[in-house]
Amino acid sequence: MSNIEQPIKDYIAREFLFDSPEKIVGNDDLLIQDGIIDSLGIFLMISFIEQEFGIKVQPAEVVLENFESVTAIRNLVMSKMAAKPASV
Amino acid sequence: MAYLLHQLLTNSARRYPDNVAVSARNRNIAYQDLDKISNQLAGALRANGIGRGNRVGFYLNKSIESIVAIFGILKAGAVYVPLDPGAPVKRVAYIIGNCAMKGLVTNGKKWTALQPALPEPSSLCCLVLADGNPAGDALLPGAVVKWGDLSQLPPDPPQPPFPIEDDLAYILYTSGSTGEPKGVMISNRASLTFVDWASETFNVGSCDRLSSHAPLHFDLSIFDIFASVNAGASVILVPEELSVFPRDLARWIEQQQITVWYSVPSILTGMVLYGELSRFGFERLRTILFAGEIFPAKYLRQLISFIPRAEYYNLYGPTETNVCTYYKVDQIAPDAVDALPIGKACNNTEVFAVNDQLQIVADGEVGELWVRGPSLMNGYWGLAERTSRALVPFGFNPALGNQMVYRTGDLVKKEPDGNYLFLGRRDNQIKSRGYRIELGEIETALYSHPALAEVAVIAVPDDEIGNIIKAVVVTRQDMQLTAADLDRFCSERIPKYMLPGVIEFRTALPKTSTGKTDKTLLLREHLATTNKTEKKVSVT
Repeated sequence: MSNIEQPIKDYIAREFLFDSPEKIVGNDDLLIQDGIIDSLGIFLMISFIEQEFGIKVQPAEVVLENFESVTAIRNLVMSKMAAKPASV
Repeated sequence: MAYLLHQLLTNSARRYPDNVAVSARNRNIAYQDLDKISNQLAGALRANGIGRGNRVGFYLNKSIESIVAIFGILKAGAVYVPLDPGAPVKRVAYIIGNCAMKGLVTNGKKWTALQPALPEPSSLCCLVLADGNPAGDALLPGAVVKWGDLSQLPPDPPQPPFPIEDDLAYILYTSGSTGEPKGVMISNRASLTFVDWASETFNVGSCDRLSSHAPLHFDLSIFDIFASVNAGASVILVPEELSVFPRDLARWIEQQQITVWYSVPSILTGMVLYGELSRFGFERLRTILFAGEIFPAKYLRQLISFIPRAEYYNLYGPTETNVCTYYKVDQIAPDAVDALPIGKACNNTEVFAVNDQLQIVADGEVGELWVRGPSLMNGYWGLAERTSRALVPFGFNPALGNQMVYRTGDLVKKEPDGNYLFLGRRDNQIKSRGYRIELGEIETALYSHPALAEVAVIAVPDDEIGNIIKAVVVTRQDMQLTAADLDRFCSERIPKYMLPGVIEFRTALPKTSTGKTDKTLLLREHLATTNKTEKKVSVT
């Protein structure tokens, strides 16, 4: 399986952390509580992982526990990809 | 009767001392305690030279402390200036300097970040720290008051001099077309005109639980805070991270037993699309208010089907007028595609549409919406010329002389049923996620980049968020620049919600026959390209 964390981290750096380029996102940094991803950003993140990994995020999955860190997003993506092979 | 905003609190503290006034993350403060600690804060400000008419800001995440700050500042006779806790420090520092702010309520961490950006010498003479200590090397103004020390101060309300109703209660900074934010000055009378109307129209009572979703620097917050305090009701501050997750937010509304909800439509659209609203009954949610942008009919219809018992109102009004018209939504026909009307004038407010010859137009004709009444702003802080273009004298009857009216810049027409329809803007102001944005402010920020030769910012209509902001830029010869460079550059100058969502590089911008940038063509080209591809976020 190709690397999942790195594209997510790159996307976060590009879309949400451009004002602090020195900051490196850790796997377990709190993305929501620390305000890195806000209400303006969550839909960008969803559409990014949908396009990047060929998955469809269901409404029930758009909750804090699936997006609170890079690890959480990776776990969500992996479980979606395992459940249904990507078909773009 | 209250003629100053803070008297709403004093009155409710007398009538409902034990009612919960504010609730935030399961911390509650009762009316008598909110009244007392805001008296103490007012006393601390007074003791440090702050009084009638002085501007005092607060720079905090939304919390019980920020609500205390609002009332403490007002009780001192001063004018509160809410500062966006998420805005770039340069912008916050600009506002502090612009209104010659004398006092600031903040915390140690935020002050440490803000202080180096402040102009020297700073107008600030008093700092109130809600929590934390500034870093050792951060400079401090003359007086520093710690939150913990407020309880040692006398609990009595401050003594005269008091403001009069025409004096300012607060200044809300909005996007300015010239590149700097401009401060909309709202008097006690203007705010109370709105609060009284809203309290009565939406029947807010002491058992109500109002949400506070909008940031406090956004004028929707005026209803949440003051209509609630006016009634002795509870205002429940929405935890910021919940706004990110419609599903969690829906559960929060149910759990908190919110009775009156008020937000921009895009938050409600988010809940319709991703909130799985059918999980809940929302038994107590009786009124849903929205304002700030157009609510697409298809999403509103779905919302109504999820929560059929609630009443729905579309409120309309630039910050300069508080709210000036409203529309009660009944049914939305399945085939309805028209935009929701903005409705009819609120009580004690008059609206009419005027053409380019400054004549009131006939019903059904398009005109600019003008507003008259006591809810209008006093003007823009320090911008006499801008003010005189927005607040203009208008003669209805020569014998009466001129009356001051506010020109909204919004094009409207009156339907046969008496409701107004919003048709568009006269200028470059747009709405995105309910935020009011001057495209000129974004262009000014971009133009200040040394590597950019030409800039055009356009708004691409979007169902879910109102508008997507797109910047088309031309770099100077031999200058290398990436979209990420520009994002970073802009984020130091303008708030996140103004940042272009799309940046396109070109070698030249198309021009009209008069030599202006052809923004219409840019938009047409954009729509032609994107229509070929799937929309980014799929919708049901």
